[in-house]
Amino acid sequence: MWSLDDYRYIFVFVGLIGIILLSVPSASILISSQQGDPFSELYILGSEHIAEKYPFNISSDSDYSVYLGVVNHLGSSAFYEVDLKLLNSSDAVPDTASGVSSPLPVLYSYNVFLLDGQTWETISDFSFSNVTIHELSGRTVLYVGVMNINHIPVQVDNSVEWDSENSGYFYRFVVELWRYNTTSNAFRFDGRFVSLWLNVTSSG
Amino acid sequence: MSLQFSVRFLAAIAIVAILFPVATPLIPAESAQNASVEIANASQALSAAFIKVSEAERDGVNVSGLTNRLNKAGGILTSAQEALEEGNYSGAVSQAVSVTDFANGIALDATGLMNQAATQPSSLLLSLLFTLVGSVALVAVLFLMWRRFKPYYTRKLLKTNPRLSG
Repeated sequence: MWSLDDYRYIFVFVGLIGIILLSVPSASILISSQQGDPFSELYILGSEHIAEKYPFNISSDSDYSVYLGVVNHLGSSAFYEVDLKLLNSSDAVPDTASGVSSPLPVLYSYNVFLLDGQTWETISDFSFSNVTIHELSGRTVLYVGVMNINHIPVQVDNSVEWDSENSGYFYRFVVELWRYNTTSNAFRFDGRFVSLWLNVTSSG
Repeated sequence: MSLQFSVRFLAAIAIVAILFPVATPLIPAESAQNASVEIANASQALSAAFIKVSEAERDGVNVSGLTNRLNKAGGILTSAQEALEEGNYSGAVSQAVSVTDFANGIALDATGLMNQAATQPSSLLLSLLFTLVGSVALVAVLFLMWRRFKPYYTRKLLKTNPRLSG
């Protein structure tokens, strides 16, 4: 037969287990409110929705597509702007260390609102038209007049010299992530961008 | 009678046909500048709505429905920008105006939910209260059970007849 002290330990044990179980709802709220470093995720995937088979050799007037996605890990909802830009091989790319975006104009932008932990994804189609090759002061230059993004023609007027080292006319399709700052009431470059090298040719 | 009616009808058509090209320029056509201004207004309204939604979220409001609506408005704003790029200025203006109205509605709803939340205790407070009251009740019940159990145990112990064997 168990002694009175044994029963006392059983009562204390049952009491402690009960208090721990009753604390679970409060503890879960407190733990979920304290999370790791907040950050935003920006990604680009190929036309088959995998991180390969990205468009590279681009013929004018042909359609190409990529998947763009943003994930919010900030711990609260966020208002993002996903900006698409076209840079030639000599244009400055965004500087993530200093948080400076590319100075080139935005060709197309998406407005995205995400709750914490939520993902946004879209398929973005693009093509080039009015692409010509010129001889300029003894150099061969490829000129892109229009970039069609989601079938909307946008004037680009950007040219690039022949890259003899890599044999091609190289452009960079840059996707920048901007986030609305509720303190300054303005969008700020989030320091995140992804880009694709495109070797553009004039004939289809 | 019918001939007279036909003549009047034809005359009316002729007047409309003559006046239509003259009157058309009087109807204000949307310009690129108008469209740009309306898109800028819509963008501003959307940002203001987001600020309200963020404030509501900080106050503990579940903002998933409001965020879905903001995304819809954001999609229309992108369409308005596309229409502007394509030169469809009247389309851009009408879409931008609808974004502004949509965003103002979201901001209003966010404010309403925020005011509603201010009158209700937070979920953390409710959980802490549940833990506290539950723990006190559990300890009290166990204490009362212990107080009844102790004499019962002693009585049961005294009723037993211990015998030495061997």
